[in-house]
Order: sequence, then structure tokens, then C-alpha cells
Amino acid sequence: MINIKNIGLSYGPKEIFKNLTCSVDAGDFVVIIGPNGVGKTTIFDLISGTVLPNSGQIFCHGKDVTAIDYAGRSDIVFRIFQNPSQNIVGEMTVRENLALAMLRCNSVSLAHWTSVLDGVDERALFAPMGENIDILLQTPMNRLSGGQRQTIAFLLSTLFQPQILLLDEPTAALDPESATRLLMLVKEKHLALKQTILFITHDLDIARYLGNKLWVIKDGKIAKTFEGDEKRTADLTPYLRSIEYEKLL
Amino acid sequence: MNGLGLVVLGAFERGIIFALLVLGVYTTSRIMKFDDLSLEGSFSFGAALGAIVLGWGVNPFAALIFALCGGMIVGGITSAIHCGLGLSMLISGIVVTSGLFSVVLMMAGSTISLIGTQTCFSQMTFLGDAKNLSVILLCALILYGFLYHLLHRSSVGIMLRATGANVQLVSSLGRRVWVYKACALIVANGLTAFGGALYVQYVGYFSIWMNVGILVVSLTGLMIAELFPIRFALIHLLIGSVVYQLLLSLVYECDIDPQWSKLLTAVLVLAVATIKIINSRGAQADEGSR
Repeated sequence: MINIKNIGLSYGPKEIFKNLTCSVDAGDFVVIIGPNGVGKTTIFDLISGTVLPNSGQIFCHGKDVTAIDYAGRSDIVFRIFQNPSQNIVGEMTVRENLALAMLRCNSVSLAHWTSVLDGVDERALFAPMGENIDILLQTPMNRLSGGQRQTIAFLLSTLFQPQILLLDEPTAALDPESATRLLMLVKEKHLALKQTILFITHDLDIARYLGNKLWVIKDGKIAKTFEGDEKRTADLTPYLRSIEYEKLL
Repeated sequence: MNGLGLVVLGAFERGIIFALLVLGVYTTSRIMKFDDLSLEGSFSFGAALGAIVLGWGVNPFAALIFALCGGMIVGGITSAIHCGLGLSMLISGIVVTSGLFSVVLMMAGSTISLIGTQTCFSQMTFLGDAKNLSVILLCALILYGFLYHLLHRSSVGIMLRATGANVQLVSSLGRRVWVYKACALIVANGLTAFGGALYVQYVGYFSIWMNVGILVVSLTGLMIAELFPIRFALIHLLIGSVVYQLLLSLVYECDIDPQWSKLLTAVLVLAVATIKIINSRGAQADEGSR
């Protein structure tokens, strides 16, 4: 599904990756952990085309996409950022954001924007929000909580079922309840749609319980891969330490 | 009509013409969230082009369309410099406006008089005293209607507004950001050039200096419009522009020395900006207390 071969990437004198090689099978749900600055988000930048590598190749479904930029890869890859504001247009209503998402597979024209919503079951789509859908649809996005915005961004991504979904710490800004709701939704949709998902987190419990593979990134490469039951029982503390609360006493 | 009535009518007419420029500034600075200084050049370019083709005997309404197309070309050049060469929007606008000054001077010279030339207004004498206001209002309403549909009702508008707010999201939809930036610049510059050509026909002459301070006029009209609590379509922009011209006319009616006019404009802009800041702080406080 995704093959990354001998990728080299430097920002000025700082070398981020040197001969990074890895692959993800179709339908895999890979959780990525690692300390700050090791290049987790940069892997997403490379897969989505936000950043083009200095050397090496990236293949998606056997097609060489190395030189294709973010907009060009949009039919294969969709990315949800850590900051909810980056995934939606805050000043537009939920319904306008839905229309915007629909413009991914509809032509842009002078016709009224609601015409792109024909055939979309808004109630079914936003049912997991558990709100009055009519009110929700008319609400500007920036009036919603971070959790609601992030959930809506995820639900909108399910509309066109991208083959690869990149989730960059989507629960980082959410309270535990909202985070649980979003993670359950991600898991549910993954089982139903069989998309390939890569998920960055700093939460060791999420790393253990979500997905079927776990990558530990260290020194610009995948230092360790855990699969199946092994990822639930493995001691991850050498790779990503928990907060040392006792130091705060 | 008495003296004050004429002053008010004149302010209305000028306000509605400049409302087309307000629409251009609104498209760039509020929808796309960048400041396009090439609008200043487009105003004089449209004015010069409109005056020149009128001299050739072209239908006055067709002259306005000529100017509109000329302005759209200017917008295209600005977007090519900004999106193609990667210059900042500010520098792209400055480059285009500077270059246009010489282009306009070569095309039209420093002044063109339209005395004895057919204009939109002279063709509508059957409308009597209302001819100026009728023509201006008709042009403004057509363009306002078009722009309202384009920006707020069409799917192009959804993409334009998204480009102004979140470029990354537009790319993630597989859309080229430069297309929408170019579209906004072409529309804004076209509208402004149309406004320039209409203004030339209204005042009866073209001057190379007539665009000086025109961005301040547009921006102040926009800022006043944004103070209105009730907004219907984009009509508040038109009202904001008229209110600004009315305020200026009232100041001039007070027999204030013309050399104070720019200072008074500066004070007015400052007052409007201060009210906006106070209002936004109030809104933030309300938001925080929820």
C-alpha cells in the first residue's frame, strides 16, 4: 500500500531522515510513537506530499508519488492535524464545511453551493455527534468545542473514504471523554471501511489499545515494530516515557 | 433641489461608485485575507481605459465593460507575480501599481476631458435629475448581486472563502490554491477598474492623480460598513461607503480649509478603527463570560 524507500530529508544542516525505509499494508492501522523532534509528523508530511524528500522514493499502491505534491495526492491521502482549526474553516457553518468536503469529488461552479449536498444524508453522517442536527448544521465551526470540531473533521473524511488516512495526534487537545468518543469512532470506521490508517500519539495507552501495529520512531528511523498482542504487553517506557509526576511534588 | 439636497445627492452618488471599490477591497482583504495594493492602479487604469475608448466613440456602457476587462487583466498580472514568482502580496501590488502609473500616463496623458463626449449619464437624460443616481445604482446593484452570489452562494465562493481562511484545507481537497487567489484578484481588480471608469464618466474628466488616496476611501467605507450590526447580503458595504461620503461632504459643508481634509480623513479612520477595537473586545468579553 505505502512503500517508503531510502528516503533522505534535511532541513538545512539538520538531517531528519537518512535512508528511511518502511512499508504499510492495505488496511493496516499503524500507531506511531516517539519523543518530540524525531520526525513522526515529518513522515506524515512525506506521505501526504506536504514536504518532498531530498532523495528516495514513495510508492502508494505501486505508483511512484514522490514528486507529487499535497494537492496532487489528495485523492489517495487525507490528513487530520493535531490542531482542530487546521482541519475545518472556523468561520463557516458545519453545513458549509460539509459542502466544502463534498467539493473534493464535485466540480466547483457558479451553482448554489447546497447543490453539492444532494444525496448526502446529513443526519446519518452527523448522528455520532449526538446533537440536534438541524441546529448543528447552522452552527459556525468556531462556536464548537475542539472535540466537536475534530470529530466533524473525521466524519467529513469518511465521506470520500481516502485510501490512506493520517491522524496526527487528533486527541491531543481533547478531554478524556471527547477523546474516547473520537477514538471509538475511528476504530468503528476503520473496521467498517478498511482504510489504511496511520496515527501519531504520545499516549502510551492509546498506542497499546489502538491499531494492529505500533512503530517506535527513534534517530530518524523505525527503531522497533510491535504487532498484535505483543504491542499490548510490551514495555514501551524505554521508547516513550510517561510524565514523571513525582518530580512535581 | 436646494444646496444641501444637492450635497447629499452628490455624496450618495459618489458613495455608490466608491462602493464598487469597497467591494474589491472586501474581496481581497476580508475574503482572501490579503491586502492588494494593485487595486489603486486598477482604479486609474480602468478610468483611463474608459476615458480613451469613450473618445473613440465606443458606447459608454461598453466602455465600462472594457475597463472591467482591463482591470481583470491587471488582477491576472498581480496574481501571476504573486503566485507564479512567489513575491509577497504586498510587493506584487506595489510593483503592479507602480508600473501601471507609467502605463496609464503613456496611454492617456495626465488628463482627458470628456466634455462633449457621450457618457452613460448623458444618454439617460429622459430620467431627469435622477439620471446619475439611477445609472450608478443600477451598475452597483448588478455587480453587488453578482458578487454576493459568487462569494456567498456559489460553490466557487465556498472555495474562495476557504482559501482565505485555510489554505492547507483547500490543498487537501485536491484544489490548487493559486487558482482561487487569482480568481479573487481578477474579480477585485475588475470591479475597481469598473468603478474607475464609472467615476470618470460621472465627473467628466480623467486625471492621472485621481487614484491618490482611493484605497483609504475604500478601506474606510469598508470599516464603517463593518460597524453595522445588521447585514443583509453585501448591502452594508454599499451603505458604509455612502455614509463615509456623507460624513466627508458634511465636513466640507462646514467650510473647513481643504488642506485639513486628509487630516480629517485620518481622524475619521482612527475613530472607526477604535470603535471596531472596542466592539471586538466587548464581543470577546461576552464570549468569555459564556
